[in-house]
Amino acid sequence: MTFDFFEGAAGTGKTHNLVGRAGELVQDGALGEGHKLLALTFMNGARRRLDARLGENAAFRRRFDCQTFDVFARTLAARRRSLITPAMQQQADALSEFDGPCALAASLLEEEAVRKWVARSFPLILVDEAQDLDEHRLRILQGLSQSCRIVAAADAFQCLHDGRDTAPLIGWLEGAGQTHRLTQVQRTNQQGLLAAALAVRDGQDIKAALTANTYNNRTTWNGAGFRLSEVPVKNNNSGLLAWAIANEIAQRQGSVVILTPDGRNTIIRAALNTVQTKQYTRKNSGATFGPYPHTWDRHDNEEASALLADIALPEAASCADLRALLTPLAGHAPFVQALSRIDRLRRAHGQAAFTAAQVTEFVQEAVRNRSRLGFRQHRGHLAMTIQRAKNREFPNVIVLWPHTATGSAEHLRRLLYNAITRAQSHCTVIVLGQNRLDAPPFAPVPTLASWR
Amino acid sequence: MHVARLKISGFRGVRSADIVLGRHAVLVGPNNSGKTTVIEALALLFGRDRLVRRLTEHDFHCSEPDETARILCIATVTGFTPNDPHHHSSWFSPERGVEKWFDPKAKTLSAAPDAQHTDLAVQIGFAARFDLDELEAETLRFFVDDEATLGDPFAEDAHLRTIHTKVLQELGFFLVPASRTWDRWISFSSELFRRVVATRGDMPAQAVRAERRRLWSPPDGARLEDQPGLSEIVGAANDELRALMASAPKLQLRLTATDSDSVLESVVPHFAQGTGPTLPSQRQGTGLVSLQSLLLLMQFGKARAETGQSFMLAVEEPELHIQPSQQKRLVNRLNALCNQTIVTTHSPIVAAMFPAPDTLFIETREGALSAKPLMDAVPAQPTNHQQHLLYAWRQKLVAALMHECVLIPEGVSDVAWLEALQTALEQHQGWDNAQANTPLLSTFVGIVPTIDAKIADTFALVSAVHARPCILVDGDNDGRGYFDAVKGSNPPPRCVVFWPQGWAMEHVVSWIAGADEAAMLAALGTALGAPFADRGALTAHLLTQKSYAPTHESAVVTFMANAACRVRAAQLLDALCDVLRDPANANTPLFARIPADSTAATHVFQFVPPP
Repeated sequence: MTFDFFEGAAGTGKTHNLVGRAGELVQDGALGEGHKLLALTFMNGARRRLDARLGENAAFRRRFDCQTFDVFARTLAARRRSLITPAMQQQADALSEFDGPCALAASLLEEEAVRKWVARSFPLILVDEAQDLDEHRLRILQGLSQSCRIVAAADAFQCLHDGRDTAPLIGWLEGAGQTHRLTQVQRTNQQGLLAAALAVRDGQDIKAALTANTYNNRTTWNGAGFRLSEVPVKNNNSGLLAWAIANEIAQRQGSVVILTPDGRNTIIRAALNTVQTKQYTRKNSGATFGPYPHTWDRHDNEEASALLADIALPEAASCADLRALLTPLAGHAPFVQALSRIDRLRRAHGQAAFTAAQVTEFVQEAVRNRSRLGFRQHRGHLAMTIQRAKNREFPNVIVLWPHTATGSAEHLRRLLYNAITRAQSHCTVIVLGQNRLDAPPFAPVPTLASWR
Repeated sequence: MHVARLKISGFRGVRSADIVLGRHAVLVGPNNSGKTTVIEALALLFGRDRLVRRLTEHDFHCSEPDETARILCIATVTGFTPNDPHHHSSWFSPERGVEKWFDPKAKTLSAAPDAQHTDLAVQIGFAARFDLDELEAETLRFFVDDEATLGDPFAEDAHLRTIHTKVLQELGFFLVPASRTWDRWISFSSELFRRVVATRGDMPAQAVRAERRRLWSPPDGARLEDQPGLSEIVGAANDELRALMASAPKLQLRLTATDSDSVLESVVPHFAQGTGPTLPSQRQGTGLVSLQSLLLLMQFGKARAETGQSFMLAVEEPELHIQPSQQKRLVNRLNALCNQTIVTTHSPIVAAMFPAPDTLFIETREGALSAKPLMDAVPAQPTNHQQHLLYAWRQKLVAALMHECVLIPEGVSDVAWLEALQTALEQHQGWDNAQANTPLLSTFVGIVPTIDAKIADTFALVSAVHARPCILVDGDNDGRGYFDAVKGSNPPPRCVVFWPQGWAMEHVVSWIAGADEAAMLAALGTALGAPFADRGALTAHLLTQKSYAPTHESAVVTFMANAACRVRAAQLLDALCDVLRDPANANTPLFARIPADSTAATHVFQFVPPP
């Protein structure tokens, strides 16, 4: 089976080439009657984006299926469950709710019958962001590669799992078939942006790639499409940071995405809250800017909790009681979904009472389902963690880098590199605190000599 | 492809059933035994959606489905050629089903092939629940991935792959129900006919278009509205219309709605027999009408067979309206054409056309339906007696087994006399008091045509398929010996009847004659051509005529002419019927329970002739 592997830094067009290669294979007849391209991703957001992308390509019209690894593995393990041995089950039971099914699927794919069974629907498989493959998901891909053609893309430096050694994985991907190395960054031609990203990736001093400007006692480091600045934070006062964020948004054209390695950082949360509502006035010109409403691209369960916050769910209630309670909230689609599920359980299974925990679970799942299908909407700008921004691109990015970003120097560099490379035309990195620019991820690990 | 095994639960009268089906199976059993339920379960699984849409509360077991009531049918389909899932991607893939491996001997499935599980198989499920709010059934047809852990198909986390009708069409399943609306089968209103035309022939488009044009604009002089008698009425109508509407529409009368579809719909099959007139099918005898659908199905089957496609036929009562010689031809032809035929019948003739292992006796007790083959794997060298039963007498054997109770008498003359008496009584019944005069013996009790002294052999064969076998033995040491031979069987005979000490059937016949002894001895003397001094002499004579049918018939005809004898004969058969049907509660002075021999499972009686 053929295996095409695309390797290249952020912005070099891995996904573009990946989809293009798959399209060529399809045009050459890789998909027979009833066959589909299977695209596997790690997260639902990536699945949705890849789905949209493949949908635009005439070669795949209605002949592709985008699934997350987790859904693919869960379905495979459920459908071929009669082949699961006690040993496989035992191994899976020791793992998390997501890794367990992946381990099961991987073990099942060691059977030729199962591999061929998958290939009868999906003879061609596409995997983007393959650097994120962990042990179990890699085993899935290794199994599939024996019966299916694979096109995959990865950049080891964009693996955001602290401490994971990607060398064996990349080694396997490079040895599995034909490797295509991509070197030309396509995402942007802003030289400052490119230089800053490269410095971070190479572990160089980012400041050396930029030009220092000092104005009003504040120093910033600039390049075309890039700015690095520090914001002092004293006594947990977030006002200065809020101003800095608003000031940056004011200078950008179009929408801005705010990224941070730590979404729970209280100063950042407080500053973003201020930006939501506060209007600023420039002292010299009197011009105003702000407020800048934005949506925190948060975790599904947080959204469900927010929905349920004002509702007193009874310990246990009948379907009719819950309908009376939740129907006034029918403007929120997750409630409508949860209610129809409750009604279904009553009608098809005779369930008479539902506990508060169950109803909460139903609402949470409805939120998850809706975000899986891409129903969630946002107004204004977006804020999210760097992890959530993976594989996405935005015109303008502001990176808020707090003290609370933790991990090895290598991990911090990867995070920052990922954040910077999300930008197509401009990126600003705001570092909270002072005198942090001589350490990773902004500079090489200080040598002993430099301490002296 | 064919269905190798079928499981049913919660459907109609069947709480649970597990049936192993051969390539060609015939289902026999008394009315209400569940034969039709089996056939309709196949229709739910493989038939067109129209059959499924009609499900109501009464299709659920016990007719009062609650939220958790389910109909569940699972069929194991095997016989894929070639025997490799890779050649059947329409059945085995992540978007379709999961392959299984079937052991043709043990009839079991395994997830992976091995030395025994050699045949590629797929499992197909049908589930239904009744929605008490919407008052209709919700149904699902799906691939069964793992039967053991299937659970409730309507559960939220069931992970089921539903089956598209297109995939099922590969099986080519057809059902010919007993209630046939026959006369329009060969016409374009029949979907089957349209399909046959589509697969085997071509739409006669040009002829239809020409006909449509002719009907739409008939030639001058042929238009109905211009005919005398009609033209006046039409003219008056046109005058009215002119006064009402500016466009002055003109009424014209046309045959059909003058589109191609109405032309096709109005095609009615006609038949001409010999040089006789051409007559529409509803003017023909029901036999010809009945054959139409099967003729058509055969064409369809042939088309599928020629292109290597599968064809499965379920036929209820193929014997309907057809004479026996045609039945045989028809059934054999169906079996030859189809990958699988599943036939229900009330005809011993049809049943006897199938080999013993494929003759399935259907019985439903307390919701548990069982389907037992007449003999599972016929021995390579059957005994003489087995040969008699399974080959020479199969029709009579099958006929007997179709009854609620089965009686195995000790000898041929018991069979002959009991049947002759029963028949004569039935022929002699009047309108008045019909119930009292006509014993129900033949309705409820089937008498197995056993040869002399083979009770144990016969019993083994019968008890394998029938839950209520009973035996009837003479009141001598031999009779006792036969009883001893079977009383330890599992299950034991349900009821055992001894004739009185030293008596055989012939003594019983003499006892009937004793109802009006003098008159009967004289009449029988004349009828049988030998004078009898007393009952003893009559008995002695009858014992020499054990297998001479004319003697039985003449004697019985003579009895029936005598009211007292009729009453006695009826009493005997009635009492025997009661005892055999419900031995635990039987209460008749003619048969006395023998407590010493009776157990909870076996009830032993002896005939006690009143003086």
